[in-house]
Amino acid sequence: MKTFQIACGNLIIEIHCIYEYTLKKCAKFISFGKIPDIVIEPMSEDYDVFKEKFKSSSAEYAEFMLIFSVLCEKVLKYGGVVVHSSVVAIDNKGYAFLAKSGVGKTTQTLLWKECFKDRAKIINGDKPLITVSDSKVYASGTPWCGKESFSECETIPLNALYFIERADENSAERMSSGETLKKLLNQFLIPHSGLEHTNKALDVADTILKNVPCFKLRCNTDISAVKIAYDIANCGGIV
Amino acid sequence: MKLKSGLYVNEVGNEFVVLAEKSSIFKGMIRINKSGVFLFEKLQDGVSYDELVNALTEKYEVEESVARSDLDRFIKTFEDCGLIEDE
Repeated sequence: MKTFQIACGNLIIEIHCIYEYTLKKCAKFISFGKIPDIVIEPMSEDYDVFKEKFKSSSAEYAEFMLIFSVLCEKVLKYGGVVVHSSVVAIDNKGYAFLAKSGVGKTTQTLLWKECFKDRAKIINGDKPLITVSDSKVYASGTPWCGKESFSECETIPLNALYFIERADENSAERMSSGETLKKLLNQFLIPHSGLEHTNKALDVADTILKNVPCFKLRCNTDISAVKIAYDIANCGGIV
Repeated sequence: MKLKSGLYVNEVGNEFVVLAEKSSIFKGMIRINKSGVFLFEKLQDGVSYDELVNALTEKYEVEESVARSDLDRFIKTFEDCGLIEDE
């Protein structure tokens, strides 16, 4: 059994795992000697469930995802939710792209990196941890970051959120809170059961809706989409 | 007419969602607006259809036909989710 700590956001997470795979994936996030906020030590019956769920993948990958599912539940207690999204930071301000897999989150993230160059940092390409504190919303990198493995062990304030739709022409518009709520909750990665979990997740959604501007971004794969998205969030700021 | 017990409203941003205390009652979330919250609270205690129509027309100063139409839509949503108590 391997036991180690990682830092995600302001949380220290102690992980117990069988396979080296998870330890390697967590390399950027390793921490030492602190008192953990969360301890993840999966039960053997959970291993069986996940091996079945991920039977087309390896046992070590199944363990990695089992640990992830436990994390998604345990962060709720600390005002955090893992959200299926890609987050890029420009000048240390975060911009999150939300959509189902395959719509264009990674494409837009890479376009922003290409456009902003050294000013840009990809915080997490797939499953960042979103936390709230004193009406402020933050995004943190996690080891669960998609096949491109874009991730940083950093936390940045979230400046704007974009729900992406593919389109021929690029455009962006502010979304109503009603439309935002439904789309946002669809990308929350939370356990299926437990009223307490749901309420905690809704608290995070509440803070996001009240403090982070949310936009619908209809876009193609041209770099001009970046300026349209950035400008609407920054009222014509400089790209 | 009465809603099943075990439902409550959670405010999220400027929206309101109806949830159940136990997933055995209802597993999803229903998004309602402010006037929906008004109706929800009345239905939790039990109220007749006509009382609801009157309450809506009085509170929101709308015509009866508008109140009925909005009310019917609201009730249908909760009926479709199995959340109105059988009488």
